[in-house]
Amino acid sequence: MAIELHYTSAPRGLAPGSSGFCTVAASRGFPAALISRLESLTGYRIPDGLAEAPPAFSHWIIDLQGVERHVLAAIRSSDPDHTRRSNKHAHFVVLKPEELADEGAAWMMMQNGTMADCWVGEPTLIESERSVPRSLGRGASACQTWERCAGDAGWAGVLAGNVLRDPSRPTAVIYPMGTPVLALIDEALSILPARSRWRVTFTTFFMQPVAGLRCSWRFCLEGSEAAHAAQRSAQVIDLCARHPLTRTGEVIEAAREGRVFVPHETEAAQFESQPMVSAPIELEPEHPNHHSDHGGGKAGPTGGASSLGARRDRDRDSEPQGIQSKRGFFIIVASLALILGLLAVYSFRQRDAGATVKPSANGVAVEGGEGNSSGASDEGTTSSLAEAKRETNRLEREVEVLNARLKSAESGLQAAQSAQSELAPMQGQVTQLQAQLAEAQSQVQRLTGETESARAALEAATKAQESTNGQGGDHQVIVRWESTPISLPRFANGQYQPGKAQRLAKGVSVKTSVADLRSLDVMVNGMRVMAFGEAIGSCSSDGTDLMWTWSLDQLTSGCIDKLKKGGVEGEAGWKALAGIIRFDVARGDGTAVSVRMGNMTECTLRHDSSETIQIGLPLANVVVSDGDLSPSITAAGNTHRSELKVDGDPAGSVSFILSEGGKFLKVEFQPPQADPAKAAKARIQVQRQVVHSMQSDIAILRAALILEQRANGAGGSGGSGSGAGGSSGGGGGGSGGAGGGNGGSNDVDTGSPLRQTLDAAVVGILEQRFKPSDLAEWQAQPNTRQAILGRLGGELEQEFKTASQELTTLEKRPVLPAVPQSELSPAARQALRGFDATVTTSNGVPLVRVRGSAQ
Amino acid sequence: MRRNLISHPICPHCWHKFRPEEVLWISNHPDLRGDPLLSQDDQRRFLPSRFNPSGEALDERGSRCQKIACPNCHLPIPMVLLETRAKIFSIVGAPASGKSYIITCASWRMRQSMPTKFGLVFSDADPLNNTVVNSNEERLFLRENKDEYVHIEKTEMQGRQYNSVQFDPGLVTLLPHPFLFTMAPTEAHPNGSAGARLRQVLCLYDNAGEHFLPGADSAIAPGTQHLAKSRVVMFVFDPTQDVSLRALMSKESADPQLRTGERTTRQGIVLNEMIGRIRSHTGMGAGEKVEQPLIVVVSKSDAWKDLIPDEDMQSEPYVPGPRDGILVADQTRITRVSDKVKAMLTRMVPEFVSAADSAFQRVVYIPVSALGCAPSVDPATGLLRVKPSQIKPWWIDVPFIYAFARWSRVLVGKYQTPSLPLEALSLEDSEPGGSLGN
Repeated sequence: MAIELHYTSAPRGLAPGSSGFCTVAASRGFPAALISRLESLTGYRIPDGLAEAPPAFSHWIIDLQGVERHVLAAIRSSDPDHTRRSNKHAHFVVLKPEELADEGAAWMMMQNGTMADCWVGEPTLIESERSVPRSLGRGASACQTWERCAGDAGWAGVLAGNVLRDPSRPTAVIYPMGTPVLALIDEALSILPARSRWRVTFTTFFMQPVAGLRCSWRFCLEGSEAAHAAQRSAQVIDLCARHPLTRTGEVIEAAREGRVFVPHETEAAQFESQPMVSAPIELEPEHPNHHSDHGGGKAGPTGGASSLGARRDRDRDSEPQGIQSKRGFFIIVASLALILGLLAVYSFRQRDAGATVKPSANGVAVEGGEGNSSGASDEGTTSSLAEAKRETNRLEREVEVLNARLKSAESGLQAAQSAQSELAPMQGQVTQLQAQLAEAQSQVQRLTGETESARAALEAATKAQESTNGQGGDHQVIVRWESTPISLPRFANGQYQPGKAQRLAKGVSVKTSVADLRSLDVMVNGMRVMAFGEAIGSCSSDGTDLMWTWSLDQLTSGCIDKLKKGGVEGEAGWKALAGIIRFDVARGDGTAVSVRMGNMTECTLRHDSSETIQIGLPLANVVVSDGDLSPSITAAGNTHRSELKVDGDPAGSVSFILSEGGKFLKVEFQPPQADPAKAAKARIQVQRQVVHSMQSDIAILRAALILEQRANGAGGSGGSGSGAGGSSGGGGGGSGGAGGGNGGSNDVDTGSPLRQTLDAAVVGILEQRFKPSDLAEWQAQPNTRQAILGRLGGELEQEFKTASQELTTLEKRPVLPAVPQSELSPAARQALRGFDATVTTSNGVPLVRVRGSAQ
Repeated sequence: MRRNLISHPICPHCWHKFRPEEVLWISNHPDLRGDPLLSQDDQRRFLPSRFNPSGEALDERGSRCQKIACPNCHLPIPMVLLETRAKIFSIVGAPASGKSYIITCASWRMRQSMPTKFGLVFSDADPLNNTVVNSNEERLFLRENKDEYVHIEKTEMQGRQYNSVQFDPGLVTLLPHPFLFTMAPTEAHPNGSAGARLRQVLCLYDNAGEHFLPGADSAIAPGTQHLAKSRVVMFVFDPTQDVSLRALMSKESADPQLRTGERTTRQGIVLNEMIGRIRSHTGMGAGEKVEQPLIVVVSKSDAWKDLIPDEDMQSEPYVPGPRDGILVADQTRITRVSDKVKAMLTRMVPEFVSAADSAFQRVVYIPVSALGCAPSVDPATGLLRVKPSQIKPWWIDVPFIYAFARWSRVLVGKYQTPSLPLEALSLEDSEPGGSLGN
């Protein structure tokens, strides 16, 4: 039984000393923490300019001490309170998991007696728990209320589809006064599977978001502040505008046809992964129409499909064979269920003879025994009859569903039998395949050897590539020579204007603080040590080592000043020595950093594009600029030489300006590149080996597939043939063997040498190229190896095509020659003294590539 | 533009004191929705490290941001609070004592009278936060049909007048919306040349009366903790809820609130609860007197004016100042009326007066009537309501004007005694130890 709470303005409340708006009644034992939480949800106000407001019916899921509670709420205006001022009444019903009716929260609240509309009397503890309606097993029906209010029942499907696609993203529905909102929600919920209905939170009169509470469906009254705010959100259904529905999709069709939409497994899993109480809700039976329209995604008037519907259709096209192979089992289960259902129906109809159903005054169907001699006074008999009637109704619906499933299964069986008969003439082809197998047998040994040699060549080529790169992948710095001072648009002639940058800095802070450091991104050896906006922690000096830990509010700039050398430890437990002595950050301009870092020998700085650069600077001042470069120029005025090593990929953006003797160098970053000619050749070599390796593996998989086909009698039963056919149809460029041969049938046996050799080779390929789950599946399920080989072979063939195209492209690619440094202008050579650089030209502009280490 | 940042601004939502460089910015990029302390609709707050040359922070996606938020509660605060400390006037009172009507009518009156009578601009510092009070002003004063009955909704303890903040998972705290008004001298003001420097931000809260009842101060509803930060405490004393005064007033007034059977409240209990909270939240000792001045706003004076027949509590207590066109507060008259009101209350509710005197260093009693007339009962709905055409507030802005005149003379001057010359306005606060500060 459910517990409940009443909240209104009264002279006296349940809590001692309370008055005015307060809790006036609650079930005995109502959790105190839940009372305060529910009281915070009682906000209700008539929008300005309106004389009245609709009641707010809501379904909330509240996390209370780790347990999710389903709460039904009804808040509405009530008679003036004892001070003759406006009043409201809020009624909350907290449900237990077993009380969640399949029909959903809206249906429960629509039943008479579920939600109270006022409280009269003294404050009291309610001793009896509240009775809530039980499920009647109602199925989905056409969304007629939506059709009447929105012009198209499909809008209910839009609403349902939105919540299935992303439960965390709310949908707002703007409605005019007088709209039967609860009925709209009930219809929209009815097209969802039963297990999903209680995951949808909603309110019929949304006013404002509440922290920590999700509201998936927000029904906003036209003209209210919430409706104005909703107009700006992305997912809005405006019932006042009655826009025509141009989207299509299966869930929309389900809403129009009045059937339950069964989402795809991945969508359902995503939707159901939202935290909530695990309730023993029965799975909604699949609608019989669901399978009948397989592959028949309906196109809407616009010719397009909704993203949800389109995704479902794509998924069906590539339906795995495992599903089809389960049809036989499904037929048996369906038949048994049908028989049991018919027996149950027959039994209950016999028991139920004479009982009639009449509507009560409040519209809820009640059972009576008018024809029974014991009369209505026999409550026990009436109750059991009512129970039996409900059970009968439920079973009748189940029988209908099972009938539909049986028909579907029978049609599937006929299709399978038809396919089997079609396979009979293919026996001749099987014989031919046996001959091909013999040829493949002779090739396998040779291909295996070739594979090994190809892999060895690939490893060698990879090593060659790394050695060609010289610095093992380090980024390089491009120094572009500028003969004149750089002209900055905001600061003419590159002159630093004191005060302007100062003001920028003063806007918020000129000092480094704990808060600054919290927002710092620090990358060390390519790993993010500190995340943006997260706390980093304290530093404690232990001799010469610094340890960074993940605690709060301990790190100060004063502490940093004492540091000599740092180590970095991340949350995941990894540790990396970074050689950091100090780090700092500039907000707006780099002047402050430059001043603070006057004596530094090594540092880590945050880059403009959120990348982080590790810099070792023996003698230089380096500043980071963000839009305003002039302070950087000033601050770097005494720079003599630099060594720059980039960690990350700043993508060539302007990062530093170094000056030397009144001349200016613009420094850009570029990802690591080897000598272009050598790198291109190495790349081609590597790609060629990759392609060759793929060819070998495809051949092995094909040979193994042929063997499996023979072992399974040319395709097996049911739909398993489609997978094999799909892979063999991949075709193209492989060296897998066709041709005659005389492979004996004994080669098919698992113990044959050929089989063993192929199996070992396949295992090697699966280990190297595919997911561990594929290998595990291949090893664990010998009966499905043919399908697995077909699928994986197809995937590898696709990769092979891509790699082949890339190789072709590489081989046609022009290679730029290197330019000797001696060809550079005297001025440029002067500027680059001390750098270990090679030079290229591009469009007449000398580009100097500086390696990662200075001379 | 140059900003003169104050050292430790106070958040008007959670009353957290922070340094300006700790202030968070509100991201602007649509992808950055959902703040961990607020709802999934709110833009994410962040501590910026990048700014454009205009001083605007750049969020993670590079969008320019203009709004800032409190580093503690993440609720938005107006930029002016980084430069001017808000002066909090806490308004306390029992349920149905008329707090909402007083705030509404006083803000409306000050918008009208401040520029013309005192040479001051009185405007919304943050229209978004002032939505409720602006809406109530429209209800009472901006109706097309002035004879159509109106009323202000009973103040809720939840809903749109509160922001919900989830400081800890599962623990949602409701913080009241502050009403923020900016006051600054115009050129006509004697201190008009120092307009920007003398700008002040007035911060008011319209708490539900239930918030001040014993036991209502909790971790999830800390809505009255502004008491500890306030410069002036205004206690709204409603004589129509006091049993002793009702007996006297019912003979003279036809106010429906005085009918037999209407509810009464022991407002001394509310006052003592308020004193306890101030002591608790400021860490004061039991014997210490509260430094903030207490203004006892004795409401609904139209209903009890006959209890002090020799005083005019309707005409404004302002007199011309030394500069033409600028009025100053007539402190002599206000003090005289205060004494008489205190004497009346001492006779009828001595426990209330003694509690106030014993807890506060300075207590002033000011009679006001927000409506200037008695409300009537709507026979159809049973609600108390009033016609806009009948609303003629009495002394509704006097508590605020008096507070600024007496404890912060930089904006409003005061006229003390007939024998002394009119005081010129000073750029400094008056009364050492008792100023409103800057």
